[in-house]
Amino acid sequence: MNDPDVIKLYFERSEQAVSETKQKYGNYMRSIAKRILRDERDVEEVVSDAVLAAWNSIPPESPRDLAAYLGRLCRNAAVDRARANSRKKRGGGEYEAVLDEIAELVPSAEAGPEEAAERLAVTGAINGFLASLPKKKRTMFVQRYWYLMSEGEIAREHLMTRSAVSMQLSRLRAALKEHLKKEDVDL
Amino acid sequence: MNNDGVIKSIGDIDPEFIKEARPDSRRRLWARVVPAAALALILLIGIFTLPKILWPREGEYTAGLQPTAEPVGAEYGGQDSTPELGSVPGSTYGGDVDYCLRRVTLEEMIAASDLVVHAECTAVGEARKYTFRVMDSYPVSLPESIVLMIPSYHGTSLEGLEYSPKEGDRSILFFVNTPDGEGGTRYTYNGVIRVLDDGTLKNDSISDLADYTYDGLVKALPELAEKLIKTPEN
Repeated sequence: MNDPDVIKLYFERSEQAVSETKQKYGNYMRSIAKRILRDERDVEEVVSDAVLAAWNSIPPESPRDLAAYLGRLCRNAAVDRARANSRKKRGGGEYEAVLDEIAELVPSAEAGPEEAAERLAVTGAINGFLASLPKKKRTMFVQRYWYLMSEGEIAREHLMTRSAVSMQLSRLRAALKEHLKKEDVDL
Repeated sequence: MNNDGVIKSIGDIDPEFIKEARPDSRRRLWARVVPAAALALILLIGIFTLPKILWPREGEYTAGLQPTAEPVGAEYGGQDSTPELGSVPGSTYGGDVDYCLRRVTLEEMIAASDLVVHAECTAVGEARKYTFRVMDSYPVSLPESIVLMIPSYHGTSLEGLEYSPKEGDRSILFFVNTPDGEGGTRYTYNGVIRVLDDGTLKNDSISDLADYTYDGLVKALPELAEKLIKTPEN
């Protein structure tokens, strides 16, 4: 079943939408969650949460790219779960490593009530930054900080050494930091 | 905003970027498989080829030399004018497919030819096209082939060879000498140009001549040719 048909099922409030989503994108969402979470049970729960979030948000949402939409829901659910786990006991998977790298960008601060609006502004600035990058660099950035792939995985995918990937990501973080400053994004 | 917030902000980026960067397991697989397969192929080629190059056995052609698709001279063995050629021990002209798989002697080569031409390279044009000048020629035995001796350099292209095949010509034997690095020359490549049915020339290397320098060959040629010339009186 293709994506428009699946979305149509959501709009018709047919429960088949859930089973079709799990069948078509279950492995994809699982692979995203696995990069953030170590516990298999957490992964399964996060995937279920993401599908439920899709059920609750479509409609009114009508994603133009269902895979990316589901991936984002899954990723955000996994990040929430990892953060909750981290509060209990530090030591999540790739998420912790990425969090350390992101710490270069922003000073640590507690989440405030304006966080949603800030996130929107930051996302807009990041989109602008990504759009300005060459495809390869953009892909590497997104693979690291969206898909939370390890540096080794990225290196294999781009036929680079791990240290070259590490260096490239470091430069990209520095460039993003500069970009956010220029955009007057309040972090 | 804390770090988690930034992580989540990245999580909300344009879906197009997410789609574009979606991990491709097939691409990763290829990235692993292709170098491994290339290495395995190189090793396999090395295992099977190196021993043949280093220790060629009798009956095997040596590295860089290709067998002719059709044994040149095969037709001579059955001809009345030189019936003995086919019975010479080790002869390569008896119609034996072994022809291109072993070294041949100069005498054998000349014996299968009707004209030996000593030519020199007079000009090198674009795309390694050479022009040759005929110095001497020696009629030999058979009416269907020509031997060319071409003093030139390694890598000589025969594309520029000005030769118009006559009716009945089937092949040209040629020699190319190269500098030996010590002021002399040596033959490193000898071959057959076959005249195809449509009149075009096809270059097939056949063998390398053993132990002849260019000067030695030039000196030996008249005597060898004379010995092998078959005139009507003979």
